[in-house]
Amino acid sequence: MARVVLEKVRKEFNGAEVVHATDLDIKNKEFLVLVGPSGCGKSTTLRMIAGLEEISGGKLYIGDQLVNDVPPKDRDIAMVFQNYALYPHWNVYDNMSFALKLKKMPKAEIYEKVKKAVELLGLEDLLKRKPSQLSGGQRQRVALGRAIVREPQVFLMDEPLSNLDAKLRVQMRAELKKLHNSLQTTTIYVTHDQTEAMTMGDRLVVLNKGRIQQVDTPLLLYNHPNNMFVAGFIGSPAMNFLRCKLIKEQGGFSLINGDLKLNIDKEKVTVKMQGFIQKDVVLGIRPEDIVDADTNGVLNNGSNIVRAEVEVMEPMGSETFVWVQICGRSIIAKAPSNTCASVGKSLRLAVDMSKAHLFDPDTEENISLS
Amino acid sequence: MSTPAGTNRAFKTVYSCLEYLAVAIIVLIFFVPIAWIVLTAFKPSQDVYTLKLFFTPTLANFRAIFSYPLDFGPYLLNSFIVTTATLVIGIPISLFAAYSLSRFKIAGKQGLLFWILSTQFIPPVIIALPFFILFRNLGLLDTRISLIIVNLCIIIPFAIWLIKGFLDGIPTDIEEAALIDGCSRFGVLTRIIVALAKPGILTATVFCFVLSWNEFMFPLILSRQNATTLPVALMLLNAEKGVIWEQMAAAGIVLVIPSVILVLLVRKHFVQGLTLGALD
Repeated sequence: MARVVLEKVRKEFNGAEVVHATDLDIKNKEFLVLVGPSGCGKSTTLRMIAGLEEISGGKLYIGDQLVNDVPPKDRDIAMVFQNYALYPHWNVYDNMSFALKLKKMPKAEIYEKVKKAVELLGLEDLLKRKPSQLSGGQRQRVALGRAIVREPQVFLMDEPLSNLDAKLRVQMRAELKKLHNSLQTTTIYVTHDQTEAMTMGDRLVVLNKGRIQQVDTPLLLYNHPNNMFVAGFIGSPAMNFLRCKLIKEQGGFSLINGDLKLNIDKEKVTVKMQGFIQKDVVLGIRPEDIVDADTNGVLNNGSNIVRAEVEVMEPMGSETFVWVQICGRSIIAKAPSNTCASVGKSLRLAVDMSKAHLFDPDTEENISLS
Repeated sequence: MSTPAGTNRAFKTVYSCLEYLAVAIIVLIFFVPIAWIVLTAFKPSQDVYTLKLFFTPTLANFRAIFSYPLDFGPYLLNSFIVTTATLVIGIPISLFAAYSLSRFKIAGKQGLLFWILSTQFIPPVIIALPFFILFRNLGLLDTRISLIIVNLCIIIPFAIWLIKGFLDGIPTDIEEAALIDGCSRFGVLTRIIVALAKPGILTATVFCFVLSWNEFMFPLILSRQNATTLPVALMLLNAEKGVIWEQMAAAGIVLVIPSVILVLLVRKHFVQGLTLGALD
């Protein structure tokens, strides 16, 4: 168990900077998730921590030790790979005990440690099997077991669940979380799947184009995104964006786009917004904050009611996502599963402007955060 | 009257018969000389020029080639020593080189690879004279060392390319897992890569064995008596009275046997998959 600190850590490939100077302080026992679209530098960052990629600049500490030039084997880390990366020529027991054998640990002790991990992961009957005789889920468990027996200071996981089918992924997600709760080992987890990130991480690091966009707890990221990228990346279905003009009237601030007019709550007005009066801004609103007005008593009485034609309905069982046309843009709204909406018909929607975000269209920065 | 399905089936039968026929012809073409050699090797000398398939087999020809005056024993030993040393030195060197070329960033790697390959473009006879002069100046003419050096020059470029092809197909994350588990680069190579690339390494070994074992021109030019290998020694049987076919055939069998045994031993590895289900 250890703290991991990145100070201005950079990575260049052939002169192109793929990870820009990154500062990150990963606390002891924390489950930190690096999340972002492919090519955002999350795996490269993880591989730099592992020592599999050279660091082009900056300092990396594991525990209190500067490890920039320490080879992977001496960093006291364990890594779980997307493709499991099991040794195909050895059976499960040999795969899991390899690292301990290299440490020249006595055989009896190795046996005890492997046994403990095997019981924890439910692999008792598979010890003599080779990786080719295991299912995807079993292979993933063996890969986890190989990491666990090491009792390392830090676990590094590079998209460990992305090769599993959807059902197994959800199951393993919970198991990994449980495992972390019982082992309390600092874990750095890379994924491109925002649901996985939200559900697993104590804190999330959202990356894009080699830069950290925001580091926060899942809920803070969801409710207070720093910029349009984070707002659009976190949450499923994604946040709706609509370009509007910000105007100031006697009644307060409003957003206008054609016939659409939405009033902004007084308490939502920030100093930054003052600079955008009579200018374009981007309204960001999550699907669950645009609701079928007829089924929502509270918002139905509000002033922010929009009429729009339904394009597509996506029933999810517990709720229904409704695609509508507003100001020429497809917008997703959320309705209860018993909604009266139907394709082609007009629907009254209530917009909860207390949950809305406004973004600077040029810098994409959130200007509605106080 | 045959249905279309029946026609189809008939066509398939004819087709597979033709296939077997073609294979049989090819096998026959390859097999007849070998069969002829085997028969001849066991024939008494008076039967050699007959086409008899039934005769009293004798080991006299084998005895003759391993006793005075032919005495092929030392030549066979030379062949063994030269080939074994070539493989023992050449295959690990090729493996290291192939691994480096497959995994590491090396300035001018493409050029280097082409250069290694280009050594194979040169007809051996062109470099025979330079080698002769080189070894003469070094005092290495008619020594096994000179033959080992020449054989290494022949097999290493070939083995590097062959093994590199196999290594390129092995996913790097297995190596990375081993690096994190506590292996050094050398450990990764000996514990992981050798096991995973076994089919490739064995294939290279067999090909290099055959190249080195059958090499004729260089031993002919570089050796006189002490380092002469078996293929060159076969020439001794082209004597004043003409070719002694029965003994030539016996020596030919002796020459072929090691290759056959080696191929039989490693045959199953040729078909073995590379990653063995480590990933899907």
